[in-house]
Amino acid sequence: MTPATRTFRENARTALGDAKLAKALGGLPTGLVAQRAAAKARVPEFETLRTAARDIRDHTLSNLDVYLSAFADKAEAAGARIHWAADAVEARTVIAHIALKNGARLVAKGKSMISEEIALNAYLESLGLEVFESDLGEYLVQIRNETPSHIIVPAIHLSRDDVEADFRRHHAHLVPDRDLSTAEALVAEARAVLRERFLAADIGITGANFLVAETGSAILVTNEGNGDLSAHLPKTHIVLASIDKIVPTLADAATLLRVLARSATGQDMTAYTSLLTGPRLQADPDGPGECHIVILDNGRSEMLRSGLGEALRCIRCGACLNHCPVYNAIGGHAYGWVYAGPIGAVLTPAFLGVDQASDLPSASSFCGKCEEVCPVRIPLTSLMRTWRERSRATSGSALQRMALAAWSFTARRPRLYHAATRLGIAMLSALGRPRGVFRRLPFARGWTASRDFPAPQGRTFQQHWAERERGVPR
Amino acid sequence: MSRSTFLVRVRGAVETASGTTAATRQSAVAGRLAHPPRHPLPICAKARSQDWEKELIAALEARGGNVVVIPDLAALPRAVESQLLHEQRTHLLVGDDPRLAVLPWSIPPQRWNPAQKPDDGTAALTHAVAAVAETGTLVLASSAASPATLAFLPETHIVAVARDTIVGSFEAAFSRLRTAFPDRLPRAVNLVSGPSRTSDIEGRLVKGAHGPRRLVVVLYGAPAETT
Repeated sequence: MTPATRTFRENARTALGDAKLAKALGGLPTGLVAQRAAAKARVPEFETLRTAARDIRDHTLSNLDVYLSAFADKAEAAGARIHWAADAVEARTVIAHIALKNGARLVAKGKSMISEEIALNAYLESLGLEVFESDLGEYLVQIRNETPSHIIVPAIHLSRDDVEADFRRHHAHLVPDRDLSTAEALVAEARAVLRERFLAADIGITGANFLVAETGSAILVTNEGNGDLSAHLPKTHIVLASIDKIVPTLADAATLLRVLARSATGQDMTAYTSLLTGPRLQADPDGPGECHIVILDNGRSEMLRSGLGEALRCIRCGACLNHCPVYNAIGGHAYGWVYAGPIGAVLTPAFLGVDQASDLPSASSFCGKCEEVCPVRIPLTSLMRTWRERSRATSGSALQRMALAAWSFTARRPRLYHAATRLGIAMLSALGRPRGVFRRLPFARGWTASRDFPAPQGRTFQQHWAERERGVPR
Repeated sequence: MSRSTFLVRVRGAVETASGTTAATRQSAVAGRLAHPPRHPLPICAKARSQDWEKELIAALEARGGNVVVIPDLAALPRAVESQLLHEQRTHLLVGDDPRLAVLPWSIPPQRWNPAQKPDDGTAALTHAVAAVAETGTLVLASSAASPATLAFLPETHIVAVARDTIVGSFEAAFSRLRTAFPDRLPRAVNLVSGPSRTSDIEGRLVKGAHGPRRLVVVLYGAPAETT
């Protein structure tokens, strides 16, 4: 997809004015957010599990070259073919090569964010292959020519009415007056339409949630069973996974699985978790004859090298999106590329270059909720701060840079800072006394456009605090 | 890109980030793989063994699965046939499972022919190798007796579980798998925790997205010796 990250401010403004989007996102607090809270409450040890999950990820990333090697040996011994892809071009080329060599025409896709990252579908289609997304949400965005707006709920921006209209348009071969008034009817129709496609597919392409070095297995986590149909039915299965998906052992995978679904959807466990190891065995009546695993770097080793390795702990649960006030207000498409929300603000500058995405790490109030819920404790705010620092030299107007320099000069000199704030607060207090609030303030139009700014009471927090410490009655 | 070129790049990044030597990393990895760590367990994975079955049933039922308990494998045909009758079905697909073939069926189940994909409207019966109480999860291992396809294409999936194969945690189930299959795991180990589902339309939970709409679990035999 062509990145729209440079127009983030306009994207966000448009999204804020979109009442339909606001309604769709309005379900998050009572939906995924509440479900995660309930799941966490059922597991008193949840914080301990998060720490263990973080340690597993850090241990793996610190030994990543050796684990990749160990995984590849095991997977090859089980009969899988491993392909190493440094970037998007290499990954697309190797997948196309496998497809064409097998004379494939129809490709079943399981959900894979990495395939979005390398724009796989468009490439395969340009070679004459037909590709269908099989996760319901991914299918919905595919037939609308859109991209996912959430890591685990790709069509979160759509309403039931949208889906009905899309199905009537896209499934034009079905009787026009059929009843599609319920979610159940829509799911049943998608099931029937996609079932036929599954049975005809030549190749299945899925992502992987984890690659287990101990056994050479790919782990696939789904609720619908679409990933499994993509992996079990076609003659050839291709797993597309990035280097950070490695886990050492099944015991490590168990801990990560315990925090993954609970953080993502509030389920203790999703309906299906599958460990896929190599192609079918001689005695097996089913399963793919060929199993390929494409391991993608695409800038991740550079992230590790340049001090952003903590972002590679991510297990793509989407909790940071669900809990982010910015994501809740603007949705995923405004972020302009594959990954949205706090993790998107950290990953996108790494993948596209900070000059392409400098506004993303700034789209945060640093409330820290994302870090509080991250199952692998990624320090998302400090990583966003790292990007702000790296982009500061090149981005922003001269005025912004001067203002920031003045702020930084003052903030590092406590006496000057206190004097300046005392003066500022006293002035604002005097000016605002008649009304108690400001309807307009210079430099703060963004705030006062939609609400009043309360006038300060005359003294700063530090003054109050100092008096309190001295025991002065209020 | 060749494996060695690819890994050289990752190695450079790892060494810059962690400052370790290749030898240190190799011994750390070898140690971890030889002796998988014991991570903290949540309370649901630490239940006493006499509570495992109760936990398993509660979790499966909470997700919309049905659970039936029968005394022994000989009682399986009656339990399965009554489920089929309830769903007004006559067909039951099975793999090449000798344990099922010898049972006293009144209507013999049909051996699945891999060349024919089951219609959406069939029922299938497979055998689990274990079940995990922690989250109410069935462990299916693909084989001629238990083809993975039968766990996903039919509309109703019936799973037979010997009561003495119920374990408390994922770790216990995985360690059983490693013991049973020391060289390599079966092609597909499917951990099934309920019927297929989706919430992709306005967050509303709908069962039967792509996989089975109904999951029926039949527990049979004597429970494991409790200590």
